[in-house]
Amino acid sequence: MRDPSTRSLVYTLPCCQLQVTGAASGQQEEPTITAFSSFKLLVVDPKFGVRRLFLNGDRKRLEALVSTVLPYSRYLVSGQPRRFGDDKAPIAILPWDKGHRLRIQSDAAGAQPVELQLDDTELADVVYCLDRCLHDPRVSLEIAVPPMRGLRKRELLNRQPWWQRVAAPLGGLSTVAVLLGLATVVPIPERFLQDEEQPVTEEVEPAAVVESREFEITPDGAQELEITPEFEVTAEPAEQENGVVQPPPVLLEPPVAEEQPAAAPP
Amino acid sequence: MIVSAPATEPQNLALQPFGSDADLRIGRYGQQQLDLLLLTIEAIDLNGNEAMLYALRKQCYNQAIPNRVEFWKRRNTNPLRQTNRRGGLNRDDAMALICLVCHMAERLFPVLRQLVSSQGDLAVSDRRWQQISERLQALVQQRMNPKRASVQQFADTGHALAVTRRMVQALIFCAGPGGPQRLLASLQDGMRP
Repeated sequence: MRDPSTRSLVYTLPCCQLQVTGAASGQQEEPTITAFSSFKLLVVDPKFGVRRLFLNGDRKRLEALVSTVLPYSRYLVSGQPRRFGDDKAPIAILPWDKGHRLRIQSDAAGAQPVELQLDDTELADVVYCLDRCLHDPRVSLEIAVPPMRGLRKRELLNRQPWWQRVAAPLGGLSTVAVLLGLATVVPIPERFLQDEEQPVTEEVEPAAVVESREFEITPDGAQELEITPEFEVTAEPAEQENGVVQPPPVLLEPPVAEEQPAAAPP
Repeated sequence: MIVSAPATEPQNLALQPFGSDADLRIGRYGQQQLDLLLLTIEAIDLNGNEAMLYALRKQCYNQAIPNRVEFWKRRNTNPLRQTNRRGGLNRDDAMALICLVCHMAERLFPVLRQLVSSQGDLAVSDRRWQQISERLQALVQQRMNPKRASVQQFADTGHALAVTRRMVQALIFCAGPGGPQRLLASLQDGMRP
């Protein structure tokens, strides 16, 4: 006998019907399912009225369905379908031949998984029914919907085939290689070669030479006088002119007198 | 006791649960996609522009987008537009436009189902696709900057048809109470490093 406190809510679309059952509370007109017990998902072919899939189960199976189908539909909105759920997962879905393939693992040991090909209409109906159920204030399922975030840049890049992705860097590298090859073929001008053979030496400024000579006029003629200048190094402070410190004078080395060779004996 | 839940119950856009701390930033790609989705709605529904304005007025989004001119300004944040406006969409504008797209997708859900269905006559389906694609092509060429390469690509019928199919598929999976979250996530594609 059916428990009078048990309520069911049915969400119906042309291709899909979802029924959730659980213990209810509240008024008879607007019952609220507080303790979820089971669900039934029915996928039908609207053209022929044929039942294509009947899936029922407990909370764990509904959670698997939600965590598989809703993220898959989110990737479809981005135009990048990808597989959700591996072979051992209770429910998996993957893109397949202009449609989608839903794979349901049976609870019975050793049983083969059930596979169902869905088109966009059927999948959209299933997603819509699940959405309505999860966001219905009359049902307190408390099933967490997986967080939905934008795709990473590398996931977006995967939209292009690999040969389109590697075309630009490959073209750049080949251009650089061709240019380097051409650069080795072009001969080096001779002026650059000469410069390489004659190393440049640093030019040194020649030191200034100060020559001081004095001449004495004699009746015999002009005779050069030998002068030995005296240099004194003074430690006087630098003179200031108009507040500007003058650098100390640079003292030149006294000219060294060349030794005269000794007079030859008469 | 079995209670049949109305599956096509109109929803209040103002109650869409984005969460208080939801990141509603939309990048350049997202603005393009959002405007393209609105254009697709206009291509499917000939009276789509008026229907969108009516939905904005009815669904308590008058503060974000109070009138037709403001709606036009928000749509012109699309960088591909002929009269592009600098600056992005703020939080309220983005939320309003996303919820508007989802509301219109829910309103057009039977038509979208018919379009993507593989059950009907293939020739009829192809003719429908071609008609919508031509309308979208005309709208894009009328309103977008023709100097842009991605707009010039719309001159190709095959490219226009492929974009139309992608937009319709995005619209049909945006319908429903969880649609705004899915659409927001798809508009934020490429914003994560």
